Amino acid sequence: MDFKDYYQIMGVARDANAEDIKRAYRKLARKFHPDVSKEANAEDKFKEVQEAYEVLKDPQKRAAYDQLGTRYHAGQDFRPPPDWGRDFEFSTHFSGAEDTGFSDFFSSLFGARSPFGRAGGPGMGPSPQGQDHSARIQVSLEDAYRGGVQTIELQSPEMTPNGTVMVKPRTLRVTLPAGVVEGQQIRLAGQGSPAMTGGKPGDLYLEISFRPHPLFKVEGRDVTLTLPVAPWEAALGATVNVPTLGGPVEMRVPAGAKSSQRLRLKGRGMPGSTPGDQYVVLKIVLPPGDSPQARALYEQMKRDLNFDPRADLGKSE
Amino acid sequence: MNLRDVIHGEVIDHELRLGIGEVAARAHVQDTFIIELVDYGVLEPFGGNRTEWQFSGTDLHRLRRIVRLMRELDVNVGGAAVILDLLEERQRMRNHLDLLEALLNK
Repeated sequence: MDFKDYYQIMGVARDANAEDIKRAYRKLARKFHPDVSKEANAEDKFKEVQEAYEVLKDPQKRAAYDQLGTRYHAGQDFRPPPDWGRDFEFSTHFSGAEDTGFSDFFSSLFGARSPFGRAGGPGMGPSPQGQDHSARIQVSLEDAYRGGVQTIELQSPEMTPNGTVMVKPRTLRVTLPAGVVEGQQIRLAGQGSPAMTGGKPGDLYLEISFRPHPLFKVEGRDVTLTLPVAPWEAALGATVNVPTLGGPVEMRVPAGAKSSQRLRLKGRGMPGSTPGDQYVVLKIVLPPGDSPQARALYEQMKRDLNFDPRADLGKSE
Repeated sequence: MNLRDVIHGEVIDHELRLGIGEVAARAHVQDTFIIELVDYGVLEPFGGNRTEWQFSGTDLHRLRRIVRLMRELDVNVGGAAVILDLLEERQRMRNHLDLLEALLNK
């Protein structure tokens, strides 16, 4: 296991006082809190900071940690010394259940089975219920639309028999109901941390997000698609094939349609008790004028149409 | 776990309904804290008096985030409620911005 330099993690000097440490923690907590932060590794950074603070804010734990002294540096291989924790009065106690997300390094020094973890009176011990976990999972729009069984891979912290924590890959097969949308959660009862002393295991909350899709954008239950149309389709009206998540449908483009005009296919969005709609945004695409025939047609339009696309810009010229 | 076992979860969305005891248990808090959050307008249960309150999955999601914010950022209920509102507003704006950018770039 690697040695962790809690002072380095918190960005404080080894002789920082309690106030400095608290200030550093609050600042880092705001920066990396997974609910607030958009940094890619916010969750891991936040846990690391919480772990460092758990030790440095507590005078006894900090003193014990300091006793390891400067013999180690961050990342160095580490085993707790055999006399670890001797000569300390354990009047304070760490709240047990929370340490399951912390590192092996922390668990071996301060975890439930360490001299620190064993201290504390009745009622101070780890909570009987296992901790809840959250995980974000990405699903494709097609899978979310159809629903069905998804295989997901998670990195889960697990308590080993000797009280340390190991991160293990875990594969779950989970049923997704048709029409799950972004931000929704799925609660898997009993799939969180196991309980410490015969209580109920925690729950696992899966938060849904969508993998980016080349055609469709989703907001809530509504789906948006940009649909290219030819100028004559827009001008004369046409019936065109439009892809939707449920398969292609025929849609009528009204005569005189404009670029960026939004048409609605009712109920063709994500399914649900109130299904979403699909919005089709028209994009008029010009045929290239790169053949004699195309050039002749453009020349004819120029001559015969008396069309000024800038008519609305005012007559300043 | 056998890989052939399929787990059926419970969808936490606006259609889910939970009583005050259930929603409190899911977030590991006391009923009194739920009542406080209703007073702050953070949770908006259906039903008239407390015994009839029904909370949605959206309420549970908000509740779990509030608990995390309070515990981990050391803010009080009022502060956490404001943070939550702003985070939700930010999320809506991000989604909308994503959509507009996608339309512009097509």
